[in-house]
Amino acid sequence: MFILIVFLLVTNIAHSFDYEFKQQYQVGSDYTYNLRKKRLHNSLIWSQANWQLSKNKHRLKLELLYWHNLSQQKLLRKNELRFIEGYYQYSHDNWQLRAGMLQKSWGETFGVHTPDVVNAKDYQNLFFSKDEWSKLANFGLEFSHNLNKWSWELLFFPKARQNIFPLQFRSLKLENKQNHKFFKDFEAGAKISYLADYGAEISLHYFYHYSRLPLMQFNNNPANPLWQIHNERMHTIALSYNQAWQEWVLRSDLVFNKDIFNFNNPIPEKSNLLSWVIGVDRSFNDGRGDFALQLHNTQAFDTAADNSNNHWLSGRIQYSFLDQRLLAEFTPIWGFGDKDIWIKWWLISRISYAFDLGLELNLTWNLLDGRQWPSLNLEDNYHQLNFAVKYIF
Amino acid sequence: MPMIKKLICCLGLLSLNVLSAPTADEILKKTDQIRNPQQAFVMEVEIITQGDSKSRFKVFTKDKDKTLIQTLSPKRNLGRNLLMLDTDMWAYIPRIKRAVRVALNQKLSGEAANGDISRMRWHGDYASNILNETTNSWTLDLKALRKGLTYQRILLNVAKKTFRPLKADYQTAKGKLLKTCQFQDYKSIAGAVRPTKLVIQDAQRKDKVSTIIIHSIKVKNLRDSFFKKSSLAL
Repeated sequence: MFILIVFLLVTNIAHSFDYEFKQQYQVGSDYTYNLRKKRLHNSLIWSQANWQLSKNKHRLKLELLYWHNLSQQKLLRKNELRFIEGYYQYSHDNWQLRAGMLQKSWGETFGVHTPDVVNAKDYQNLFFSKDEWSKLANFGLEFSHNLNKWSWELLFFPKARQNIFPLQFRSLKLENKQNHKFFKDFEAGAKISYLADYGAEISLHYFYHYSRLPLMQFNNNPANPLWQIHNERMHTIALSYNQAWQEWVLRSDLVFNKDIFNFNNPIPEKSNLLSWVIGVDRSFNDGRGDFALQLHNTQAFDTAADNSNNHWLSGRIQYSFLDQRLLAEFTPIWGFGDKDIWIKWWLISRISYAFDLGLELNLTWNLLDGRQWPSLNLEDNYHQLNFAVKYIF
Repeated sequence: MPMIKKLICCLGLLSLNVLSAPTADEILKKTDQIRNPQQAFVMEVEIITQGDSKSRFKVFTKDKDKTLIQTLSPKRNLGRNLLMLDTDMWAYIPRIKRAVRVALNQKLSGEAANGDISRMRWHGDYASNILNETTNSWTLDLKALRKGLTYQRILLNVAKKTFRPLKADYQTAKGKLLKTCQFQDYKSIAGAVRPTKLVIQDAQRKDKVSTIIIHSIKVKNLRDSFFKKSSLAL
């Protein structure tokens, strides 16, 4: 540690570290809760470290995550060290090349079914999904170019990375376990964006990739019980748009997934999926917060499934007090319509306070009412309380 | 005859004086030159709000419509950088590694709006008129030439001898006072004597005060391509 600190000081590498203690409790189900009967789900020591070195046209970036799980529940791996990002970047005039462990964010809206499909996902813990850790960086190349109002980028990953499933799946046998090979199982894509004079920003994305929502089917054969994974490469094409007028911002994504696996009760089948999200957010007059409202819709084609059309409303209100020390946020998600298979209600309330000297407290309350969440370690009508203390060096 | 000569002489001097008096536009241009360099530059600023809360930023500016703000402190806000291209703005959210389009009026810290450190030139953004003139100063009435600017109207007090901005009243288009800004602590910085302290006070609640301290300004050759969303992940 001492050698590392001396090295960082001598080489003048920009760096930051933080340590966090996270506790996750289930505090109720079936729309009732009882703090006294809380059940500890996860107790984690969580640490992130970030190093950056820039010189002229060259830049090195490394961001690592480490966690140690103190709880006896087997909901997360005991220990893990992983790359959030780690790449070398070379810039020349308007050109830029990045090589290494990359993480990308595509799309303008928030929530499910955005065009954000470049990275595989970690499904071990759904309630951490807002953080970047749930996206798994992959080794690849990114080439980008800016020209006035236009910008475009090309991405190539020689070997697709697999999603990480909840631990209980790994204790069972997996059929069709996907051992991807270099170059044979590549993923690739491109994005082109245009910023119009009147402030509209339009992006077109294409990505050829394995599904970020692979379908898993349990073969209920007592002699040989196993999970079957249904996941083949598919195409995603998306169009994103955003524009701001004074305090208002309009965001929208239109996404087309070709050949995505879907359940046709109970037989898996390939279908095409068209989803769109449109929303607005408005900044408060004093500039200290905003509220947002989004409408989501997905429509599956070429399927006989009775759940081919689903829709949600999502919202968010956030406000900061005491010179941005105290932050309060409330996010409701409502799946309306009987055919909705994912979420009926999901309410997220979060409050955080930042003290001097880098200390931060965070309290989050989740209420989830959905139908398929048990497969992701969650019971129906589920209350969860997250508590975290963070220290930033 | 001597009387006529005197009269002609006086008229001549008067006309010379009229000819040499700068227009509102020229005053505004010179005031901008006092505030910061005309070339691209990098500036380090600190914003102190009541209660001694401090935030520090590195501001990269080119022309009057390209700005990238890098947050240096507090630590909890590291990585939350801002890009402004004309009246379009994006904020980088490190937690999700994403540059998100945001409204222009979002607060940077305390009473300081993003525009207070990102749009450091008035000329070209505002139509100016001389509203008032004393022996020592002019008061310019600046009206926004388009929507989307941080302030729609500014009453600006400028010193006659030096063209230094002294005080600005930031108003709504209808003339309602929002904030006042005082330009203080003139020091030699980046090749000229410039204000290094801006005291911004809320018009309604006088106890709400933020002070912007300019620690350094360095002229730097910045490429246009630097002012892109990909640069936000600094």
